[in-house]
Amino acid sequence: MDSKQFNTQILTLSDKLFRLAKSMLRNADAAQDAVQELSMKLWEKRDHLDEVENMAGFTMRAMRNHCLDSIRQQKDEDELPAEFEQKELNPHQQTEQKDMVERIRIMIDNLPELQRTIIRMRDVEGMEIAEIAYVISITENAVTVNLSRARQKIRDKILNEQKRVEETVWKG
Amino acid sequence: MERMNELLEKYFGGATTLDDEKELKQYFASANVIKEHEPFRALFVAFGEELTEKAAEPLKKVMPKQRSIKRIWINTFAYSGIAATILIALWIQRPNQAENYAVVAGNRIEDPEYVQEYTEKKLNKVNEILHSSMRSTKSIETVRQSLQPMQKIAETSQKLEEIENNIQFK
Repeated sequence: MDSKQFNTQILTLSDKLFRLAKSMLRNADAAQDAVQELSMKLWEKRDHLDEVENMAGFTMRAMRNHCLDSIRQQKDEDELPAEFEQKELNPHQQTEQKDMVERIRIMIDNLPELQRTIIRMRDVEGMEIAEIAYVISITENAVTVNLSRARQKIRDKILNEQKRVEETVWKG
Repeated sequence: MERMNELLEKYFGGATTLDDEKELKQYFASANVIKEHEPFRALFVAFGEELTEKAAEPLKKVMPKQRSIKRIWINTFAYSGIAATILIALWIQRPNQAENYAVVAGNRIEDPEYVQEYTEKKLNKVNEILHSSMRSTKSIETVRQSLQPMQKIAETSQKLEEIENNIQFK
């Protein structure tokens, strides 16, 4: 694969790769680094990339594996960056936080890694179930089960949030 | 609204198709969302906003550039190596011009007879210097031998002292 093909087929995926890395690592800087590192690795192995049939799927899978390695390494070092910690809104923030969209993002970030990766691949990137299964290396049924669980958790949290807001208004 | 209720149920059950989800996104982006569905509007808005997130640094410019610098270094080392090999080979294979002339007192002399004569003359001079050095060595040896009786006198004197001491003791 020459540089022109590399630019066309892989570097055009950089935004998608960044979003996947950010979702997994929950840190924009770490995600940016991960995308750069993966791109370097792929560039060094560009001579073998001609054999890959599904380049987008292959690259996404490589990105996920790269992020999983980073997460494992962080766990080994036991030095989790601040953004890796579970983000929960304190009562003050809950009162002050008007932006429901931001709260939903935090809800998604607090899902288990597999579930948040799947829900974002599906609902943000619009990927087919089969494609997600290929990237994550699990069965399509497992993808559907995890997607359903992730969405139900988010729905329950949204409804609880709604209930809390209504109770606050009634009490007020 | 029956349709949207049905789609939402399917959605949270993980059973919607991409087309179903597209329909839901369009519904929540419209002004027709009923109060019952309003809490879920932010969910679809959040997905839409996340899709607009982009990598901070464009990779397109970085990648080939970094590689080209690496390539330049590799090429530089390779060409330097080849050039060095050629130079060494030429130096080893060079014609041996030293046989045809000699440098005497900064002058290039190409007459072999003169060079031979000059060399013999210089060697003879070296030989003379060596002989004279050997003569001085012989003189040192002569002095050393002449001092040997003095050493014997000292030894005899020491023995006499010992005998004398023994006699007094007795």
